[in-house]
Amino acid sequence: MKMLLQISWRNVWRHPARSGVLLGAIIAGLWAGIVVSGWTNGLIDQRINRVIQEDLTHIQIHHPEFRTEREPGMIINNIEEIESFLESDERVVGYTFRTKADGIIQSPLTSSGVQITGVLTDKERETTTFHENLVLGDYLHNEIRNPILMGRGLAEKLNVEIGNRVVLSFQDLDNQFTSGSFNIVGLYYTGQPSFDEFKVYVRAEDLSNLISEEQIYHEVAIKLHNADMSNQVASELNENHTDILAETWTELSPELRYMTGSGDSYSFYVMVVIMFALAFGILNTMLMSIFERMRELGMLMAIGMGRSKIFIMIMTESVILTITGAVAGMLLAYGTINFFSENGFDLSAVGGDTLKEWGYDAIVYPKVSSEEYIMIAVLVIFTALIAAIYPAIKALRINPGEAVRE
Amino acid sequence: MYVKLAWRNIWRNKRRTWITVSSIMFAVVCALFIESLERGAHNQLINNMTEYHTGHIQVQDSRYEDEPSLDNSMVYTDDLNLQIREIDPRISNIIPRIETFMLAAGDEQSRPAMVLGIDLDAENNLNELESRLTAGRFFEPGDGTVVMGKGLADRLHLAVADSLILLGQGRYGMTASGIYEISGIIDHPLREFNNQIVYISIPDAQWLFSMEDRVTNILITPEALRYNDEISENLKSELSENELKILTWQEMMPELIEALEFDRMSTRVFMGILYVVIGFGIFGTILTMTLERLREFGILLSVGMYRWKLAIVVFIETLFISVLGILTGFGLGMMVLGYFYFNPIQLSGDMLELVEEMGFEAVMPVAIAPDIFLWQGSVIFFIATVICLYPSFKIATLNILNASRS
Repeated sequence: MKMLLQISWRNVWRHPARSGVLLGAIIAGLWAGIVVSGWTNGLIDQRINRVIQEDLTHIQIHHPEFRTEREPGMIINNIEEIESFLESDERVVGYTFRTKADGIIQSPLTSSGVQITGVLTDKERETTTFHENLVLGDYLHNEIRNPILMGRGLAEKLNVEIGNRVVLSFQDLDNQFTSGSFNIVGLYYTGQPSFDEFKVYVRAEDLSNLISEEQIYHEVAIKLHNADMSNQVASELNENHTDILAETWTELSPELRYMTGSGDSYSFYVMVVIMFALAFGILNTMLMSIFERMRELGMLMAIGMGRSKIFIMIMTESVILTITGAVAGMLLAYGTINFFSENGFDLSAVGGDTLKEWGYDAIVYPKVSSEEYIMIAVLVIFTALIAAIYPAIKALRINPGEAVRE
Repeated sequence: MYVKLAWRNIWRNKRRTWITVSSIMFAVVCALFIESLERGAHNQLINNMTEYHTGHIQVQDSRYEDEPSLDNSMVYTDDLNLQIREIDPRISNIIPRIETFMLAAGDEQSRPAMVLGIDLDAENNLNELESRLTAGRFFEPGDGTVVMGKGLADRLHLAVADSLILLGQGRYGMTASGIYEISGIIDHPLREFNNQIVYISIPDAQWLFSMEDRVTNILITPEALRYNDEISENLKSELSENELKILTWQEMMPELIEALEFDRMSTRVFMGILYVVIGFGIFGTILTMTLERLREFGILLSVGMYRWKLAIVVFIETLFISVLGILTGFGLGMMVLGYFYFNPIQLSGDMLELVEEMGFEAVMPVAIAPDIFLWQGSVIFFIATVICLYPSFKIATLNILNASRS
């Protein structure tokens, strides 16, 4: 076996140019595949983080049925209890309470359906970065009665601007219809029309006053130090408190879950197609090298080398080639990813500003998990074996008598 | 003479030729498949958005885009329908709609609702709306009943045969209110719609909003997506004098265009990687072929063949091989794409659930478009031709003595 290995190794390097080309293909393919996957992961992470930081946060608490029914009466009753729990928990960076209502917004011109969020201005700013989306005017402040923030898209649709008044109508706790007039103090822009045209922000106390006699909250938004703790903290919250449901960001947003899912399958497909292309390259090159060595292989058989040994020799050649390339390619990719995941890959020099239009930052931090490296390594070995089988079988079929005489 | 020589040369060693042809053929199939899959996904997304949301082309009153209000509605009669139909024979559907936001109320709960006045037959032609019914039936025009989204019905605790109250504003500030029997419940694939949609027949809507013979927009669909631009141009030149505005889906959903553009960019990066891997594969076979024939070249040169003549013959040989590879690639590609066109890839597991939750069909369709063939064919032909310069270059610098002795 040791000898076979040695022979295979030498066979591989008998044609340095040819083996070099194949190695080049494997290295380039793997490197590029891993870097692109890492880059995609980085972009997706960035997007997810942005949504979490901006508004969603890691965990939200609601009345168990609030998210499906959205009735104004489905409030969180034990708010002090939850507050003291969050206050004493070290994993929590910040939290805020929100009052919610679904209603209709009316301008002198037209009306539209909106989701109204009442926020605690100070706590909200400590917990989320939503105020950074403000493009015009000010954040909700105390100088004007009933201030409201809306998306630029909605303002255009309603044909209103800062300083104008809009009327919000919604249900109160007794299911009676109530409305209040609000003054536009600022416009925000997130780049997502479903958000900008659909969500407006007011102060929690203003909204609460219209809905109920006392201050009520429908939602607690909690930001953690580390997103990986979300599941743990959420289940602790659910165990220790009754009549509430704490859910993590993956449960709250199917869109984000879809994004993570599609990112994973994207990297998988990228690797599979690259492997497919590589397999074909390996197959063709090995096949050619077999045909070229017909005489030599025939001679080996004629002097008594067993067919199984020939088969193993050919297989080993492919595997040696592939693994050498794979190790080099993966090391190179590992280095690249590590370097850029620390320093960030700054695309602003090569038109990275267009990324901003799509809601991404120009600096991307690529990321590849160890599972992905393992998946790739398995794929590579698998590919090499598959690609080597056909040429090895071809070699077995050689008739030593004819091959030697050729 | 050269051509004949080259043609005979490539068939002298059939096996070698076929291996090289197959590596190019494979490259073509791979590239076609990826590109067609991407195009298919984009077309699917565009269809989903246009069929359930905006339509491919919309005709509106010229002020409606800036101020989407019932005040800016347009007169729609059978005459206008006929006039539009005569403008372009490739128009397949004309779908009038009245769109506004109102308050929908049951016995206790009330919610904002998107009220859509529709012509059921026209909607069915667009997206088989009626097949989404989960209970009851659809209304007859003017029979005073409505059909509502399941999400909204659940939130209002309403079922078929219950009464729904609609409250809002009609044309020019007229109060619009009415009580309607629910004739059916629909499970709308887009979640946002499912939670807020109420369908009503156009005659009922016109009466409710005091807007006789008027609608807010007319959706127009072409027989095929590729006619869209021409149809909209024709509509623009024929209808613009009537104070009407024609919008295409690109104008109505710029954010979708941006998202597609971003997706296309990542596919382009991926294609780049694929080209490199494929290029290495082709180079591997060409290199092996060249090495195998060095002795032959050496002898030819030493018996007096001019280097440049030999180089031309070999270059023509490789051209033949490239063209053959691309043509067979088109053939095989057609078969592969044809198969997946009629048997699209089904999503499974978590992704299936998510995609269905977002209201899309859980398949990955492929698109078959001539321009993809043309473009990918030329790119790979270019790559192959550049690689195929290598043997000619080798001949130009060949050491005759060493080569003929090897």
